[in-house]
Amino acid sequence: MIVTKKHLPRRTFLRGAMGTMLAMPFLDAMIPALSAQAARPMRFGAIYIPNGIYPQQWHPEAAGSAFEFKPVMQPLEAYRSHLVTLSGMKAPDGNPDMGGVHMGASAAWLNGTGPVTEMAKFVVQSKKSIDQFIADKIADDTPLRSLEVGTEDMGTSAGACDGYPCVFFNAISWRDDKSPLPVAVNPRVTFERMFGETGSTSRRAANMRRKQSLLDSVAEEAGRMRRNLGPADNAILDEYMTNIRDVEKQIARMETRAASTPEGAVAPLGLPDNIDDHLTVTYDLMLLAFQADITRVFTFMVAHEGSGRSYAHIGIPEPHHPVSHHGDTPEGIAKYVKLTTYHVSKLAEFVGKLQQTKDGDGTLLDRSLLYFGSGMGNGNAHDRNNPPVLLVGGANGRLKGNRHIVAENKPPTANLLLGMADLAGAEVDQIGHSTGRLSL
Amino acid sequence: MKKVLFAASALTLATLVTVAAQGPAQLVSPRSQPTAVSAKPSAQPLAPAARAEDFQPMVTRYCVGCHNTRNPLPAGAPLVLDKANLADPGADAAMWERVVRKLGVGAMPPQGAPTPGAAELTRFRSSLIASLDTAAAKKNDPGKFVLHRLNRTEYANAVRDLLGVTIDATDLLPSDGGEFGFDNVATALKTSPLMLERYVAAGLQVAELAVGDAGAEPGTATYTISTVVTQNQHVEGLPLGTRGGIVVPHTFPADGDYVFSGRLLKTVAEGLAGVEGHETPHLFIVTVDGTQVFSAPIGGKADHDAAKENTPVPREEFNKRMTSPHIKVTAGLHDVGFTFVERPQQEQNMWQPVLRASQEAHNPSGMPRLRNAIIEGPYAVTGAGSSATRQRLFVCTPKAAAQEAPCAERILSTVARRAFRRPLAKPDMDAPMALYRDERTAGGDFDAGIRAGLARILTSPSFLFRSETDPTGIPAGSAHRVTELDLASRLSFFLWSSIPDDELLNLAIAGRLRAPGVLETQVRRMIADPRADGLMTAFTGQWLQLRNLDKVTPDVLLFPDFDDNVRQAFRKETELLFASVVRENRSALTLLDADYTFVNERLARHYGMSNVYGSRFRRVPVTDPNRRGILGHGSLLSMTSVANRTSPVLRGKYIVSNLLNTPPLPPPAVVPDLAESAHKDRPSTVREQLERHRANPVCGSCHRNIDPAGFALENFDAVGQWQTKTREGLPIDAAGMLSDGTKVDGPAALRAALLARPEVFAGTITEKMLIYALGRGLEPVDMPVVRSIVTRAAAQNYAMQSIVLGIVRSVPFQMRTAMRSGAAPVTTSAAR
Repeated sequence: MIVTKKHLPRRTFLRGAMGTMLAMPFLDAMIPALSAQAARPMRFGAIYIPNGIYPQQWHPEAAGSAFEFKPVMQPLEAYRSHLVTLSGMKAPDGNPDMGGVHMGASAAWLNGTGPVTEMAKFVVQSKKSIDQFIADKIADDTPLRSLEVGTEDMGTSAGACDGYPCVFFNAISWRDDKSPLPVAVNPRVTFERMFGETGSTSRRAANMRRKQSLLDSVAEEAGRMRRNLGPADNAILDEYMTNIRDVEKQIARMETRAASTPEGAVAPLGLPDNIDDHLTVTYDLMLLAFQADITRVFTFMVAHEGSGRSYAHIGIPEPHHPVSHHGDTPEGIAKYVKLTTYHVSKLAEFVGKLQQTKDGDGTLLDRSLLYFGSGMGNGNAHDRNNPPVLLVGGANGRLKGNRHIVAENKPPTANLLLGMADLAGAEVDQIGHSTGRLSL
Repeated sequence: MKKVLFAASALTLATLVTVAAQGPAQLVSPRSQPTAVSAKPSAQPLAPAARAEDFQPMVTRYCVGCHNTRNPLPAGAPLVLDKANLADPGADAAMWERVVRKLGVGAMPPQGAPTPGAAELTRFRSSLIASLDTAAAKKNDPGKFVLHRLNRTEYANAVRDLLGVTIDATDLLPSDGGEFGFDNVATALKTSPLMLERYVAAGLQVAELAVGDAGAEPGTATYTISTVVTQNQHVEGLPLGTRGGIVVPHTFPADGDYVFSGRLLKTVAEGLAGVEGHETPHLFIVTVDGTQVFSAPIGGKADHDAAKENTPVPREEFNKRMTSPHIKVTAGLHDVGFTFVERPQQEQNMWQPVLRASQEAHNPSGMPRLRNAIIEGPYAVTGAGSSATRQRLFVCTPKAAAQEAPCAERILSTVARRAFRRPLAKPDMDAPMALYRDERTAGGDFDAGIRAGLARILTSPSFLFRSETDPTGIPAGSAHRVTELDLASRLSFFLWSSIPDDELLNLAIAGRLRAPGVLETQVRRMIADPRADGLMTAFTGQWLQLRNLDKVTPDVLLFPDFDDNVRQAFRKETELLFASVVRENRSALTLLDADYTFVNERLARHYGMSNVYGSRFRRVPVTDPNRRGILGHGSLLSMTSVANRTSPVLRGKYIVSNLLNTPPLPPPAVVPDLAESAHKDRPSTVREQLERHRANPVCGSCHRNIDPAGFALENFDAVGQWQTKTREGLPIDAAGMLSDGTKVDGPAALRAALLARPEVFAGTITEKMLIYALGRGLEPVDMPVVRSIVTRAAAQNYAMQSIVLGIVRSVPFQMRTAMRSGAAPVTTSAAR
């Protein structure tokens, strides 16, 4: 049955995702299998907030371990021993000559490059992003190599992309130079990616078998089709075939786990119509994904740069983007601070849940490396200087918290991307505008 | 003497262009017009054409002062004219097309700068166009059509036309992205693992819905009504005598029992457990295809008293009461209604300070509203049933085991032929039949086998991708006519956002689509067909950006009447106007000056029109000259406002970008914001702020072209209602000067200014529609094609169908560039 027009039954799922109703039946069955593993894997999550954060209300004054918490970072104070904040860095320009001031901010966040142009025109091309390098190293045989999620996408209103390729607004993760991984905004879709469609065990198993034989047979047809097409068409078909193979592998891995998946799973019903539920349920799904080791890498855009969603529930009826153009007025700044603080508090809830969740002899927070940040500092003028750069979690024992690092000479944030790759053990020599490696 | 000579040569060239633009296929009518003539506003007298290079001194004198190597303006995308070669504009068509475009709207030289005069500029522009058209005609380049994935709208429409199954693609499939302003642009339609997973899941689900499933497991479908929908009125599609609620087209997977329930909107976000709006008794009902199948009384004194308690108990009691027992429903598509019986007017006529029912937390209208409509089931399944969908699909029914495989092949090949949009070749049915057999071997019944085969067809690259074929022996890079089969698909995806129907497909198979008169007859038939709503919705949704209406969130305190009902009505009004212009073959200019529009009661009330009652949209005359055309539509006006005020900048940008096709360059990366530059003593009006803003030359160079068009609409507030004073009580000042020097002082004057350059507005629609029709961005080489379509349409007062037909007959639509040299014979027998 196709579930349309969707709504998230707030109570049921949220209560569930906090660790009672939904999560338990699944995880009870899954965790024993995991506990058999000796070494606990590292997890990586990148969380993007659009339009910057007002630097004066975010970055601490004092360097080192005795730093103070400014208002926007305040919700995270309880986790100070697990966080490292960096100031004085520079976010990538992301091809601003083409007018991609906002688009470039998010598009370049994880690869230091952003949109690529050829002959003064955009091509749907960028650079492989750091989360994907990290996935190469740590994804192992998890069913999903990585998960990309968001709360809205621009594809539904193409006019809003101002004629630019919308994918640069909708994707921060790039599998390779030509393969963007756009965010999924529907929690139900993400849930089904993680667990398959709901239903009885036998039906789920039968469905997975059907999907496998469909993909097998489709791959064969695509191969035949390939012989009759020109090079430009074949490039598109090759991308399609790569994806077929990826999904085949993914389903095969899921099938091995399906046997231990209990019946009666409850999926979120679809698109929540308020941002608060949407953020909570998405963070909860990421928690589940880490907990059940369904994926070890996720990227989450809490909103996109041109966000049109209202924050009426915290007293801000205007959308994120206009709020970020605060005009340097006290009221404007107050609103901008309130909105970004709200997002940090949602992050803090997630961090809290990671800390409460056991993973072997530690917690998920100990295993995780979370990168939270934005493609600009002060959003009012799209300023690339001094963006928020925050690392949370123990990175499996490799990251020492309680630090405020003041960077010198405005190093590009790409240097930090390389530093994170080092923490994950991924070998990356250079990325985007990097000029060196930031050692953490 | 010299002039005459040049004029003659330009005419010869222009004639050449037209003939050449017809291509080898003789696609356009033989009546040729000098292209140079078309370039000028039709109101002006013909100026003698001249060679472009004769204008070198003029360019040097009037243009190079700003546009040169040392002083590259505009910043970001400089136009360098000091080294420009006017002897051969075709060699740098991209640059000269920019010049043509700017001159077309009279934006250069800027107001106040020395100018050679309008007549001379027009002659210059005409000479440029003549050169560019000639150069392009020599190339005869139809552009590149690459493998084109069906986007999610097309997928949903194709599934509807193929199987009669309706799905909500926005729920089932991820968004497609988009480029050049449209989500059907091939190069932007990437695939990702997410996308592929969803297409596979969708294929299985659609197959289940089409065939039905006697083994269907119970599931839950929840439909949600936005909290900003006001439910005091009748909803179109529900029985008369009801108010509020929702009607959903729902496909039931099997004959069996289903449970229907409603959930009321809890209007206080947190805290009170009560459900507001039940002080008086109400009757909740469920209808299936208009027939009531369940009712539940709610409200009244007892319920009201119970709900005052701050506990979840009353709410749960309501939920229980609003849940039906098991109700038998047959498989297939049914319209299910969840609504309330309308109460007599006197009782309903309670305190209603504003039209919008919800004011964030409280519900002052006093009537309960539905939040969720839930369908659960099937239970006690009696069979897969015989839905209309199933009857259409099962073109045969096997009577004995030996008939099963042949019958399955008949069923599946009937679907595959239309799904693949071509006659089938032998190998086409191998895979679907293999999956059919696998399913049977695994113990599935005939239905299960058909479902498996159907799912295979729906995930086939032959269905999901539009590929076109090159005939044998054509060298790569050369142009040739597309096959009639490919042409049929181009037509149906353009006009229907869907697959061809049997009539179109059969004409193409028979090779008769290009027979005299047939193409035109087909285009007109397709426009009249309801499936052309696909074009109306997708094209207006993107060209006029109606999809952005969902993001319009006016401040609830300043605009307390604005609700989702108005928002949806805005969208429908503009869609209906556009559809009427296309279907009735009116002038494209009607979009700007229509003396009629479409409203229902709610929208009429919003606009202050009287004597319109009910939820149905109907055509009404527009008597207020300010309201005529889309410039008076709430859709355009609200989308270009911010939460608490109008935005002349957004409105101006909308007009110069979407109606005049001269989008401003994006602001420089680090730009002082509006209020920032006015920080010290903040001026009181937006106009004053913007005037200060424009005083900065960096900002002013663009904003003097953007803002005035927006200011002309200042009498319309942020939700499109007429205002004579600002909220601060200041009089509205709508005066301004457009980039071509025209003075405007309100919507009517702005409209007149746009209508004074009909070829610019018609050219904008043509250009946008050509992008949409071809699924690719336009190149400079395409601009002569656009101009020739507009010229021909001008002779018919820009009749909309002449533009559509012009696109269909154009070289890029009729032809393709061979991508592969010595291409092998195509896989289909009939396509050869």
